[in-house]
Parts: sequence; C-alpha cells; structure tokens
Amino acid sequence: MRSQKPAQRFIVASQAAVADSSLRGKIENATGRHLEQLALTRAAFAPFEAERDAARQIKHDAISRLDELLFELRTRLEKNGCKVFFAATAAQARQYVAGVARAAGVKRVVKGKSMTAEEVGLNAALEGVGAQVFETDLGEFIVQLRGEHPSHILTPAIHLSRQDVGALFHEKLGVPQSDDPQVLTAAARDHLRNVFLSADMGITGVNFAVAETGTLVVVENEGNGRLAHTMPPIYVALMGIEKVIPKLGDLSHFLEVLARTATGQKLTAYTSFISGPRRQDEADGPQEMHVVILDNGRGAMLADPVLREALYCIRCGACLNVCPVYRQIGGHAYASAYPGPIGAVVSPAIFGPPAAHLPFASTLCGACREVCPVRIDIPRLLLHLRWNATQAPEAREWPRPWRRVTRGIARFSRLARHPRLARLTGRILRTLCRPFARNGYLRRMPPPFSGWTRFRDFPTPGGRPHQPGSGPK
Amino acid sequence: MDYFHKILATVKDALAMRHETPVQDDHQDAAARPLIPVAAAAHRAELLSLFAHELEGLGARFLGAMNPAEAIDRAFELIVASGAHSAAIGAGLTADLESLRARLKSAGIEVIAPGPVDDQRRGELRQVLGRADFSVVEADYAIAASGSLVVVSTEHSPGALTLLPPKNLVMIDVKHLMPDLGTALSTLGTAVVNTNRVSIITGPSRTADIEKLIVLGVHGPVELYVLALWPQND
Repeated sequence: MRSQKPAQRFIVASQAAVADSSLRGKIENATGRHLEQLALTRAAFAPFEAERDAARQIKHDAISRLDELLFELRTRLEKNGCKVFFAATAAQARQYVAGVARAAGVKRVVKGKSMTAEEVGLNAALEGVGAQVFETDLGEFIVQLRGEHPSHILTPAIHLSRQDVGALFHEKLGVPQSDDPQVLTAAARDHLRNVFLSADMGITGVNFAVAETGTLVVVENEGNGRLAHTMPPIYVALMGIEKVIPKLGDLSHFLEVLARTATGQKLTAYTSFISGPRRQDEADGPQEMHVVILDNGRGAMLADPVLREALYCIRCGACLNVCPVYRQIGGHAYASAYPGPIGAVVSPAIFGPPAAHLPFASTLCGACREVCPVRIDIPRLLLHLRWNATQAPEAREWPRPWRRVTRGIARFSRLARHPRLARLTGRILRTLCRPFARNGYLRRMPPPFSGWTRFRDFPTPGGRPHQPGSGPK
Repeated sequence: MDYFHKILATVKDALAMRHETPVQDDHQDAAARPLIPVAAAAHRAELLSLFAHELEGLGARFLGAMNPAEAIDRAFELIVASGAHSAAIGAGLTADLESLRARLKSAGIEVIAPGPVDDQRRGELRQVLGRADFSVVEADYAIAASGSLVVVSTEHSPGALTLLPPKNLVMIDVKHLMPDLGTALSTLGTAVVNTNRVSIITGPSRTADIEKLIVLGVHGPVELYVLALWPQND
C-alpha cells in the first residue's frame, strides 16, 4: 500500500474539517468579524496607514543588512551579560536548550507562547532530559491538561465550552466545579503561580530584538511571559534571525500596528524590554539569560529576492483570521507550526517537502495582503512558490505538469482569434455543461475535467463572448 | 560550538543575490516623519483627560489628579478600604511613598519595602510579594494615547510589584505624561533600556481563552488603579 503523501493528508484533513460544522462554528467564533474590527481600528487611528508604511520600510532596510544587525545584536547582548547561541537548524536549537537544562539539572520549565519553540519541537527535547514543561498561556494550559493539541493559534481552547473547562479543572486541579470563566481563570492563576515561583527555567519567544541596545521585546496580555522571564533563575529566549530591528526608535512603529492588527487593541497589556540577566542585588530577572537565534530555513528565504519579503512578518495572526481557506479548515489541517497564509509561505522553507503543497491551499483572494501590517504581498509569494514547486522533480503528481497548461492556453488563444469559431464553441459548451451546472457553477465534471472540479468550482460558460462591440447595451 | 559565523556567511551570501524591491514605495526617511501629531505645547489637562479616558476603557480605574500630599491620603484610603493585610510599596519619584509606608504600618498593615537583595533574600521577597494584597509604585512615564504606564524596574521598585500582587496602584507625575508611544520611548532613552528591565503596562492583565469571553486578571494584577500627581505650584 502506497503511503499517503503530505498533500493527500492535507486534502483529507481539510475535507474532514469542512464537514465538521461544530469545528467551523468555533473557528468562526474565534476569527469572525476581524475585517470589521480592523476597519473600526483603522478609522479610529488616523496614522495607521503611515505606520504600516514606516514599519514595512524599516523591515525592508533591516532585512537588507541583516548580517550587520545580527552582528550588532550579538555583540550588545553579550555585553549585557547574555549567552547568545546561533542555531542553523532545529536540531541544534533543541540540543542547545536541552543541554542548558541538563547541565543545570532543570526539573520544571515554564513556557510562554513561542512559535519558534513549536517549530523546533522544543518540549519533547526538554522532556527527554527529565524536565517537566508547563504551558502557561491559559488556553495552552487547558489543552495541555487535557492531553490535547491546540485547536487554534490565537485561542487554543476554543473547541471547549466553559463547562468542559470547569469539569477539567475540577478533575485535574481539585477545585470546586464551576463554569464561570472568572472563577476558572482565577483557579488557573493560583495553580500556575506556584509553578512560576518554583520553576528552574523560563522560556519565551521574542517579538522584536533591538540591535542598538541589545534588547528583546516580548508582547503579551496575560502576564505569563513576564513571570517566565523574571522569576526562574534561567531564562531562554528563542527567536528567528528575522526578528532583529535596528533601533529603539523603530520599535514604536511596529508596536502601533501589531496589537491593532492582531486583536484590535492599541497595545497589549504588557510590553516588556529585556536586555540581560539580573544585576547581582536585583530582585527580578534571571541569573542566566540565553538567547537562541534560529536560521532553520530563513537564510534560504533571504537568498531568494522574492521570498525575502516573507521575513518582514511580525506574526500578528491577522492573515489567518481573514483567510477564507483557514477559516473553513482551521489550523490542524496545515500540519505545520505556521498555518494560514504566511504559514503557507514560510512552511516550505522551514519544513521542506512535507509542506511543499501548502502554497496551493489558497484562493489567491488577497485578503491577507490587505490586512498585513507590513504589507507583505502574500499572493505573489504563493505564486512564486507554486512556480518553484512545478519546476521540482517531485512535481509530477501535484500539481499537473506545466506543459499541459501551456498547451491548453495555446489552444484557447487560437480559438479566441477566430470569432465565429469561438461563438460556436461557446454555444456547444453551454449545451454540454447545462446538465452539470448548479447555480451558475460547475461543481462536478466528468474526466478529464474532474481533476479541476475535485477542488474547485468553475463558472458556467454563458452569456455573450467578449468581442468588440458586444459590451453592455 | 555555535554556528554564528556560518549563519552570518549564509546571510551575507543571501544578500549578495540581486535585490528586488517588491513594491514601489515612495518613502523618505520614514522614521523622521512625524506620524502622530506631537504638539510640543500640548496642554497637560487635555493629555490627562485623554489618558483617563483610555485607561477607563481598559478596565482600569482613574482616581483623579491631585497634589502629592492628597495623593498619599487617597492611596492610604484605597488600601485600607480594600481590606488589605499586606501592601508592597516601591520607591517614589515625586510621590512621598515613604510616608505612605509609615501610615500603613501605623494602621496595622504589613508593609513590604523592596530593596537590594542577596540570593536568600530574593526568594523570601518573592514569597512575601506573592502574598501581598496591594502594591503601590510610581511610574516613570505614562502614555496618553493608549492609557499606558511605563515602569522601569529598579532595586527599590522591582517589576514584581506590578506583577505579583492582585491589586496595583500606580502613581504618575503629570509632567511625565507623554502624548504617544514614540515620544515615550525616545524620552526613556537607550541608556535606560540597556541597563534596566522596562514594562509598558496597558490595563490589567487579561485573556479571552475561555469561549472568547474577556476576563481581567490572569497571571498579572486583577485590578489596576492610577493616580495622577499634579503639584500645586505647577
């Protein structure tokens, strides 16, 4: 039996997700109305577009001299007392952090949200050296207690009702049964507070790294990030190479657009600046601070002058919320730490062939480009990646070979140059298609057209052909 | 052994590839462009009322503007009325937080005054702060446009004060009220950021992880109060 390829798995997962109306309802709840909210936000903040431009320009400049900035960042961080480790691959990042944990005899790790940690599979590596990893973001904490995976990037426990959470806390934390979110949140707070104060190591991601001052910026709403980078004696920050920005003064442009685009807030509850371990007599802060700076495919994106733009991403999540594909199938179907539109762009570079099909999981509607705070032209990048995929040797099965497409276009253009033949063909097509047409769309065609209609609808041919003088009357 | 030089070489090679500017942008030096109108002569009362409006919108409470002496009275009343058994008080800049400590002590409330610590004292301090019902700090700056407070962590006012106790009162001198984030950051300066932990606090801690319902007070403070200091001779 032939093993399923990642593309086939994606199709199966997507079909299952689309058929699961309960899941779709939950995703709709989590992502719905984002466009309306964004319009309100934009209307309330006059400089929004100017800030987007500024942020994009800064990213463009920063990425174009990334080597200088990485050097400066490393120099400053080390001067501030941090240990800086550059990891070329996920394995190196895992090994380094696990090594730090093992050497220090770390038993308890508290973790704030970090996409990079998910990307490299850090939890398993830490567990492998005998450490217990506690997810501290409330949604992640809930799904971890249930032994599940997050069902959504922004709200990991969106698939659970408050009654589910109440029963879970009653069973696992021993607290009285309740379905009041306020009470449940307080229960999680109390439980995790002890964990924070007794943890040996804290791990967070990084939103921005300022080269000028050697400062990591961590943005959050709950406060678990702050606890993770101030309480445990060892703090590990994980970031991709693209997170570095030149100056402190650049930061405000990003912060003005990040929370607005992600959640409609002006700023998240906490924006923390961390430049190094604690001073000797300081109450807050770790004794040891490690900064892991990860390549893992980002260098390859940088080398491609078109794909380079993907490195501007500030991980706001807005493109997920507006994507018609993501909103139907949710995050799991992508089978990547980075789902949604930007995920479809970066996953092939980071995870290789297992993610090569993701650029095709798009309607190219452009909603992502509209909302992106740094104006990344995601559809252009997806087309670029699709082209790359068709050139690759593995492209024989997915998608259809390029030559058939060019031949088809050549045939169509010959037809279009002969008006009478085109009209006759149109009439024949309309007649032939009538049995298959539903509400103006062809949903299921027989072979050899079934390859197209398996995943896409085609508008029913109809109306007058496009010819000079045949416009609206 | 880390791969710094290898990665740096990869990046250098990558950038040697011919540049493409994907979008025709018509930029000047964007950072120098004044993006948010910063009126140098912004009237403080206007800024303060904007700040108060934003703050209340976040679910925090604005207690008003008053001179420093009245501010201490108000803080004392607030803490006593909340039924606090212990209060952690940081160092003041304009506010005389030392006198607040004294008054709370006389009222029978346990007062925690953080200072330089060694390893042993640090653990004790954290436990004690974890049990505190209330904390009082003075912020270094505030941001009117977003209702935010900028708090620089020091030995006498560690960041834990605005993180561990469930109720937090923050005082701010109106002279340090900035119109927007950009101004606040440039006033804060690179030297401070380089040597201190800094937190920009915008409202109480919050989550929407359970059924997307907003709950205030997760791992950070549940209640946030702000008091503006407006010295009489100003």
